Amino acid sequence: MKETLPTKPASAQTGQPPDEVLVARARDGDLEAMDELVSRHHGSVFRTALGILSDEDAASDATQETFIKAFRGLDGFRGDASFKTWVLAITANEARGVLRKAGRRKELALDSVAPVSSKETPVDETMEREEESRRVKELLSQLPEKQKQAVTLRIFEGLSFREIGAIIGSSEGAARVNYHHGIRRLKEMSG
Amino acid sequence: MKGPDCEIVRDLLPERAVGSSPAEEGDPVEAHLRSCPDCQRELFLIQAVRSGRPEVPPELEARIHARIRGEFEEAADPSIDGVSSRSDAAQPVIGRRRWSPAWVLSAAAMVILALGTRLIWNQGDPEIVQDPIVVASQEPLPESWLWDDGIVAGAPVFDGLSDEDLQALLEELEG
Repeated sequence: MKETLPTKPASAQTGQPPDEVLVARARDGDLEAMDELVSRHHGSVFRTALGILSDEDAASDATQETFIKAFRGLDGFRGDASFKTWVLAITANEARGVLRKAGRRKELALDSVAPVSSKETPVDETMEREEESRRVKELLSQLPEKQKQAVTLRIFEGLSFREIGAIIGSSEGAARVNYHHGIRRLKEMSG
Repeated sequence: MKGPDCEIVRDLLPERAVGSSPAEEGDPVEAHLRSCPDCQRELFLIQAVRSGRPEVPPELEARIHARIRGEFEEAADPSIDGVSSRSDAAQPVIGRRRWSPAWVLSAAAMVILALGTRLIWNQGDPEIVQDPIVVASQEPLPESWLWDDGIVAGAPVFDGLSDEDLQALLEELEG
């Protein structure tokens, strides 16, 4: 077994309607369904855009554009992939388009963004982990683009390699190779 | 029984790092991790990467909601005027042209200026004020327009004709 199972959707645990139901309602113009889809996925969309654009404001704008385009184009969503995968693929295209328009391509600059706080960790361990986190972010920014995307989509979003491949425009196998090469390089660089 | 090899375990480590596949008693992955320093190190690395996951700006979700309301609420209900339903946080609408108040005011000023200029100009030259069509309709028809049979070019004048003349006219028209 090489493929990992995607994480169980939060809706399955909370009794909320699954994405497919919300998508069908959003297709009929249900604004509350759109809002719920935004609430569920805007974090992933933002982080994916940020990973490509390296700028928080640009990533916020790209996140908004992504959802507008997604809801306008819902008729083109066939349901072959999950809504999350589909909307993240739109995000990657949107962010690359922004870069093309700007005529530049920046490396990931996670340093400009505050890390997730570790609320349940003791102070000493928190400081140690924050230092380690800073170091790893620096290393992460040095990875080639596809390796970086594969690593962040796998670790930040918990996506399967098949989903990652659909987003970065590669096969499932290539996504797995990019991920493992990225992790190996991070290990080498971190000594 | 032989446990899972490193390749399989490493595919599973991201889920383990976020706790979505927690260790259980007798878990073969957990057993492998205890005996494999390389995989253990990779798990720590993944946890470190995970801890640097960027935070989402707290106001972003509300901005997207407002943008969606502005974009799709009007599309669903065209009777809405397009201003009252939009919050201040909403961004400009894509793909739909709106007249901004500044443009409307500018256009109105241009029209007023043009009319005023024309009025002032015409006060100095009464000939231009008079619309030829209006003048023609107000003046009496010249006698010279009358033909011999009493028909004025472009307009019939039957008032002065006797019944016999009218009858003759109709017969002539019917051929």
